[in-house]
Amino acid sequence: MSKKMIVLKSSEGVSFVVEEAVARQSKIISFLVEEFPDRELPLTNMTSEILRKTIEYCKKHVVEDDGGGDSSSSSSGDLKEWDVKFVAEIDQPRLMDLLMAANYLDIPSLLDVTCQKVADTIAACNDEKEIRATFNIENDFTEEEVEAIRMENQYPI
Amino acid sequence: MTRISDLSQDLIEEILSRVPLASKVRSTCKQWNSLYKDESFTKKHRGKAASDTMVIMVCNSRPCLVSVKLQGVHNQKYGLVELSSKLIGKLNRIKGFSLKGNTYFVAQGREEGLRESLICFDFTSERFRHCLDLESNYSKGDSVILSSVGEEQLAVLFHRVDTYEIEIRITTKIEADDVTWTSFLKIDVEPFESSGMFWKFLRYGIFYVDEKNKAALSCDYHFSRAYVIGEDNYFKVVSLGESTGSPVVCSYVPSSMQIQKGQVHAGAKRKVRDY
Repeated sequence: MSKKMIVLKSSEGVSFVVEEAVARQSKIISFLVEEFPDRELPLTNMTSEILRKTIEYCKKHVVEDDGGGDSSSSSSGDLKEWDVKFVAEIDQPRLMDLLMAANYLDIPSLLDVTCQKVADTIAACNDEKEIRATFNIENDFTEEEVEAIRMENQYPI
Repeated sequence: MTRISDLSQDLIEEILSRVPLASKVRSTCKQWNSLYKDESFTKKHRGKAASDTMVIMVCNSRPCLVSVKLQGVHNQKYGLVELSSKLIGKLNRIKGFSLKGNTYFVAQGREEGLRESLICFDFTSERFRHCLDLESNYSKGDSVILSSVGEEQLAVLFHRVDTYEIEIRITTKIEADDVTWTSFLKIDVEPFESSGMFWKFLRYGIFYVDEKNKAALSCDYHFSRAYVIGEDNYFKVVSLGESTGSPVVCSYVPSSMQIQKGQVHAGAKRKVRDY
């Protein structure tokens, strides 16, 4: 039996032919496929690069789900490891794009791993200056305000 | 290229609820700091934190909140893996007691001659809050024991070696940032000092308060005996009877709180859905 394929189009107009089961991990695409069968789905706010990454993630996860139905704890462990590696290889600005894509396409597991990666990056920073530099955030605090927060967070004895 | 500041408030919350609280996170920018004053966010934050197993560990005078993972259940590996730890204060020794979902500790400060204080761990902000100066000194042999009156009030027993005094204080109000106390009983134990070295071991014991009769029972595990103290300097030693092991006494406080079956917290639910 041949698998049903659907076409996703990136913001640059590049078409990606994807198995329907792979694409259906996105709740939005799932909905669109039912509403507009046999039509190309334009994703105007996603670059080819991010769309490719998203599809790579979905492919990996759909393969694992096919594995006989009884996904053993070791395979879900392997999948988790794969996820960690997957987000580790992406640089910070692209990770943000991927997080936005996961949110837009409504892929909860991809949103989960990307949010976790960003959270881990924040937690690994030594101080607020490093967080600001890493994420290109403008400092809107005065020295005194930062000091006040630091005092507030300290142990009282 | 998307910047973190371009993300919606929902996504920022989703990310920061996974980051352990630290002043560096709050002082990054005003938007982030304001989240920690928002109750719906702090609830979310607490839910995520609760999905990890956390312990408070004091090591080399450094109390740390440690998230741990016990290996071995699935893969035959044994050992304690410390995932992350953060310093939450500076003290030597803690002794804990839980009441109404809060955990209180008698903490010994490192400065000011090892003076002790009563502190409370605030699970929302993951930091200690000061509740009471105990004016006791562990190194001199003073004792501080925590207990409760029913399930609503906290009780503290002090024994000060230099003034021969036992005092019990109970709370009149426990609120988020405010704990008020009243002196419940105070007795002078100098006349009874000859009854032995029990003071030295009082600190390992436990006590029970009878608010109606203005009395308290304190148990001394070491000598298998109990002391009844009451108004007008009433003091009596009672034997707990012959026993080979140390008897253990603790307050029996039945709770009327319902345990809901099949309740899953946010963290667990997420996992079920995602994997």
